[in-house]
Order: sequence, then C-alpha cells, then structure tokens
Amino acid sequence: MFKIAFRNIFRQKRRTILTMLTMFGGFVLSAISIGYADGSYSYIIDLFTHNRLGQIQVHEDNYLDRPSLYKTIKDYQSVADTVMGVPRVESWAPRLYSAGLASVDDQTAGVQVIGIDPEREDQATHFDSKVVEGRYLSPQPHHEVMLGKGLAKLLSAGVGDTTMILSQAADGSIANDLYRVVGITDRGDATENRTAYYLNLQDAQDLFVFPGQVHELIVMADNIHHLDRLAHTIQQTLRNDALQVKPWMEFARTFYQAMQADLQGMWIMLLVIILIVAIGVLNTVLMSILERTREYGVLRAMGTRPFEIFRMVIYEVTVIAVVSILIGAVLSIGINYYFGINGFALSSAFEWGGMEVSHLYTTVSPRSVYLPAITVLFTSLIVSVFPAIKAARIAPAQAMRMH
Amino acid sequence: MGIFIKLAWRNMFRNKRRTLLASLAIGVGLAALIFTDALVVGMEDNMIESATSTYLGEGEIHRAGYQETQKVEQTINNLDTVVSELKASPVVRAFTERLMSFGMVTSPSNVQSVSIVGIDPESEAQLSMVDEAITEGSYFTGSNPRNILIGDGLADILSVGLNDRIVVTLAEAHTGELVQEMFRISGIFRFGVKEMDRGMGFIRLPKARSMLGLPGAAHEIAIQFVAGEHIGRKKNAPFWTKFSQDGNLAEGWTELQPQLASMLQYTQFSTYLMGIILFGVVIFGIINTLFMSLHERMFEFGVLRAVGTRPFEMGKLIIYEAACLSVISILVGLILGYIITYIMTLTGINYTGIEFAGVTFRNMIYPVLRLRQFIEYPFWVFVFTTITGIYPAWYAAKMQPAEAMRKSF
Repeated sequence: MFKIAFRNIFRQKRRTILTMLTMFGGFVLSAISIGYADGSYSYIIDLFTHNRLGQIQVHEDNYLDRPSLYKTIKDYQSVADTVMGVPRVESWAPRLYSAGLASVDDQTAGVQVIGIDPEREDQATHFDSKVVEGRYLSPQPHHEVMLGKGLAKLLSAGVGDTTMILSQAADGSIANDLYRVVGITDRGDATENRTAYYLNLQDAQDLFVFPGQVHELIVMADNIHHLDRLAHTIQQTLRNDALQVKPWMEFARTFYQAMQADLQGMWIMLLVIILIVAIGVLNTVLMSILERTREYGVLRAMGTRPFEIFRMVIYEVTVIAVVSILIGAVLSIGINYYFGINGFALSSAFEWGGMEVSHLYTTVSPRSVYLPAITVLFTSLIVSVFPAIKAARIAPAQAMRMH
Repeated sequence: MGIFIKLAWRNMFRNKRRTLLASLAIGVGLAALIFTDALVVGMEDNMIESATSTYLGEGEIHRAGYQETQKVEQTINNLDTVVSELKASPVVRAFTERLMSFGMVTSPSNVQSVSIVGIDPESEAQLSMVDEAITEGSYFTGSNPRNILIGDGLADILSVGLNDRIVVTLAEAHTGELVQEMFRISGIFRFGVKEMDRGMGFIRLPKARSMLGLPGAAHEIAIQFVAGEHIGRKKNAPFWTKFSQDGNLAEGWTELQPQLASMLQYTQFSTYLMGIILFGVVIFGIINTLFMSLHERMFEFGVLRAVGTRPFEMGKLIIYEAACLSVISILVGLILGYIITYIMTLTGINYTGIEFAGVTFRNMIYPVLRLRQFIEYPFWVFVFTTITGIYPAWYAAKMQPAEAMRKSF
C-alpha cells in the first residue's frame, strides 16, 4: 500500500509539486519569521545589556529599591571570584556610586560619581567605544576623570581641564580632590550624560574612603538565554543572604516589558502566518483528493478495501509533507543562518544607546524548525482525514461516472 | 469578448465546492492582511500614546541647549509670543507650561534631592496624566499655594504620608540664594516609572515662579496635537521650524525620547518584514489554489479546444476566470476581514499585564480600521491573482486537445 502511495506521488508530478510548494513555501516563510523574531529580539537585548546595565547585577540586599551609600559589597574581589566560577559567566565589572558637587572654574554642578575598573568595564560594556572626545581612562589610577557629554557642557569643561569634586566620605569626613578630564562620553542616556562623572575605581574608593568596597557588580554571560536561571545559580553559589543577584528583566523592568509587548505583537503575526499556511495546506490537500474521486472509484471497483484506500491517502499526504518539511528545513536553516551572519539591512538605521543599529539578525533557533514542521505535518494530516474517509466510502459506480 | 466574461463568471458557479474552497483560501489570506494591518496601526497608536500622554507630550519647546544642561536661568525666550502663537495654531490640541528646578526636599527623617516642577493644574490635566496617576489624596484642588504632589517612592524615602509637611529648598535663579518653603503633601502619585516616582514633586506654577524669582517664565512647554496628525513623528513638519526661533527649540517626542523612537522603528521594521512574509504566504496560497483548480480541469479545456476555441480565446477565458475568482475571494475576504477586525476593535486584544505604570501602558490593544486597508490589499490580491492566471492560461492555450483529453484518464 505504501508503494502504491509512493508511486501515486510520482504519477502526477505537477500535482505533487504544487502541493509540496504550498507546504514548503509555508514552512520556509514561517521558519524565517520565527528566526527573525528570535534573532532580532536577542540582538536588541544584547545591545541593551552590553550598553551599560549589564545582564545580571549583584548588590547588597535591597540596594535597588533603596540605594544608600553604605550598602556596599564588602569583599567584592572574592565575590567576583565565586561568580566567575559559575559556568556561563564571561566577565564582570565593579562599580562604586556616590553623589557630589563638581566644579570647573566658577561652574558647579551636582554629579553622580561612578567609580569603574577601566579594563573590566570595557570588557563588559565596551565603554571604550562610547568615548566621543579625548580618550578612555588609563588602567591605573592617575586622578583622571571622564565626563558625560551633557555634564561637560554644563560645566563648560573640555579635555585637559581640571575639575574639583566636593562630597562627603563614608567616614563622615569631607571628600574633595582634583581630577583631570581625559575624555567625554556618550552612553545614549540623557540623564546619565548630564550627571555622570567617571573615576577610576581606586581613585573613587580613596576619595570616599571605601577601601576594597563597591556598590554593584555587573555580570555578563556567554549569551542572553535563561539569565534568570543563571542569576538564581549565582545567588545559590554565593551562599550569602546579604547579597542580591538580579537579572536584567528585574532591574530594567520597563525595558523588559516593552520588549515583551513587542514580542507578543510579533507572535500574533506569527500565529496569523501559521494559520494562513495551515489553510493553504488544507486547501491543497482537499483539492488534490477531491479531484481524484474517479481514481478511487476505480480502485474500489477492483476490490480495494475502504480502509486501505484511507491508509493510502494518508500515506501519500504524509510522504509529501515530510519531503516538503525536509527540503524546507534545509533551505530555511540556510537562510536563517545566512541572515544571522549578514543581517537584514534596515531601511533606515536607528540609534540605540549611542550605537547605530543598521542591521537586524535572524537566528537558527530550534523552534524556528519544529514549530513550522508541526504546523505543516499536523494540518496536512488532520486535513486529509476527512477527504480520506470520503474517498474510502466512495460508491464505485457513481464515482466513475463523474468527470 | 463579452461572452468570455460571461462564460468565465458562469464557470465559477458550475463547481460550487471548488470555487468556495478557493475563494475561502484566498479570502482568509486577504482578511489576515487586513487584520494584521489594523493590529499594527493599533499597536503603534498605543505605543505612541503610552510614550507621549503620560507626561512628555507629543512635542516640547525649550530654550535651545536647556535639555542638555537644565540650567535654571535658561527659560523660554519671548514666552508670551510663543503662547499666543500656540493658542492660534490649528494643529495644537492642548499645551501646558512648566517651570523646573532641582531642589532638596526635607522631611523630619530624611533629605532627598528631587526635580521640582511648577505646573498649571488646569492645562496640565488636559495634557498629561499627573492627575490620573494620583493614588492618594487629590490633584490640586482649592487654591492653597502650599500644596505639593510627590511620588510614592519619594514618600517612602522621606517616610511621610498624605497631609504631612515637608520643606522644599530651591536656589533662586539669578542670585543663587537658597529659598526654603514649607509645603503640605496634598496628593501622592504613582507613574510606575522609578525615576518619576522617586525624583519628582509638583507644585503650582505661580509658586514655583516666585520661589525661583522667575516671574512669567517657563522652561518647558509640552504640546499635544490634534488627533491623526502625528506631527510629533514628522521631523520636517513646519511646526518645528516655526517654533524654533528666537533661541528656542521645538522638538517632537522622537527626538526627546530617542530610545522610544528606536523601539518604534524596530517594531515598524519587524512588522514590515512580517507583513512581507505574510503577503508571501498569501501569494503562495493564491498561486496554488489557482493552479489546482485549473489543473484539474484540463480535460474540460481540451474539449473546448477540440470544439474550435482558438488558443488566444482559451487563454483569455482562463485569465477572466482568475479575475472572477479574485473578485469573489475579495468579497469573501473583505467581509471576513471587516467582521474579525471589527469584533477585535470592540473587545480588544489582551496584551500582557504591562504594569509599566498603571497609567502608562494600556493593557489592551485595539486594532484600528482604516479605509486604505480595504482598498490597497484587495487591489494587490486582484493583481496577483490575475497575473498568476497567466501561466495556466498560456499552458492551456498551447496544449494539444487530444493529449489533454487522453491524460485525464
């Protein structure tokens, strides 16, 4: 019976090709759209988290809700060592935050002092590339500072100027010192640009008398998948209830929800696409079976049992569907792979966090293969059951009379 | 010629089941295109509204350079002229003046540096959602000049509640001297945006003006345009150049909030791509349906040829049939598309419980019906269906009648 089904497929090449074309086209197109949805989503998140926030942040308990100068991570180096021991963690960077008044000549402004480890920060967030004027901080503390570009304007300061900072240190003493401006930065966030005063971490620790302490560790993983799980693992490995490990979905909730909303919109469209593919398959299978009433009539007349005809029809459809899926999978994986490397050129590039986005990328995700495969296979099978039953029940004499 | 159209039309109804199947397949595709378009328009509207109606406005006017430095002395130049011109402008639906300064808020237990914004309660209420975001107490009622609204995050930090008193310290604009005044918390708001809930306080505009020593001044005018104009997104609209004079700068929300604009652009590109793919799927469906329904009738065409129909006429008939089929499908699609989309515009589509400000993001997306959806898409479906008919037409025209009739056995 399987042989007959197979031969039937080749007997009517055009019909087979047409049916396959629908299944194949539907498969490839829905695979590309899923690949695009997954790929561009990861790409945007990757850009976002690499920009400044990091993928996972470690703080002293409750720092995110109620930041305070005194909620520091004490022995951050050993915390970082433990974090780096967790699989998938690629890099980390420490940060110290405080507020102060900065002045250049007679201009004064309130600033947020951010102490960073220049090398680690660059590794984690590519900070070096966000310097728009001058240069990046040198690895060793040299009393250097980088200013956000809004702050530089506010203070009328340029590269080479000396700034004075005035604040209060952790021990209650007055913290003040002089730093030379070496660079001006733009991280794409207006508030940060207007207030950020980046010091070398060691300089900042000296200024605020916080030896060996930081407020925040940002952690980057090898990829953006399952970061909530990774954060959980880190939390457990640390065995320290005083520390709080949060993935970006929690500390950047607004952005996360905006992305979720966007993704949901995309899934509605994907559903529509899958629905149309299913209807296309339905229509094709239905037509190709209905137009063969006469043929089934002949088969019945020769003594084929109804169940065998039913089986034959199902076999035929299955073979066609499987072959279309195989060819479609090869092609769509190829296409998704190609655009995963080269990207879709955007009609107009847009800026995201100081970075220009001119291409969006697809990805070869497992579901970009199995979702379309399930859709095509199941719709063709479900759809072919009714015509198959009909074909099996055909009254031979009547069927053969028809043209 | 007329006879072929008639014949083609009649052929449609000869095999009703086939026509029904084909027109359903194509019609559902068309309905999907219409629905998706409506959904995209609805999503965009929702996004823009979320971005602009909370606080930002669709556009803002400042002194040029104020945005970057927020220096308190950089107020809008020629405010009276700007205001009267805004009042006269036909595209402006509402606008409001604001005066802003960084200051310190002191409660018995804590100190916090915040942005103090002087607002005009009446016009502000029409433009932003400060009034809707009040969760405790009330928006400025009565005329007590010492009322202040603060966010719930700030109230938490200061450990104060409704009707408590707090001291606001501001620096006078020209002399830099510190001015302190006592205020009573008359309302607590929650936008759901951390920076706003923690770092903002609203007082009445005249009070802010007198404290800062800036009579009749404003730092910012937020503008809402009349519906459907989308001036906020049009960088080249004459509105912006008109109000960017005398050292002032008028900008739309896409420039005020570049991150959101990027997000919108990303969404637009994605939907555009998905739209193309969807169209591709629909086209596949059309090609397939048409080929199938013509292919199974080769015997019939053979007979037609055998009785003397000329090849050219044969082709014409098939193209006419394709056109007739597309007309029927379009009718089916239009009706389906309209009904589905219309139902959705009433019920809305539940979009994740986006709490991003109980006010900011609405939880429901309502597709938006536009006339253009019912003209453009049917047009393209008609064109593609008819074009697709060319191949079978050509095939049928050049076939050998005898062979065609033999094949079907």
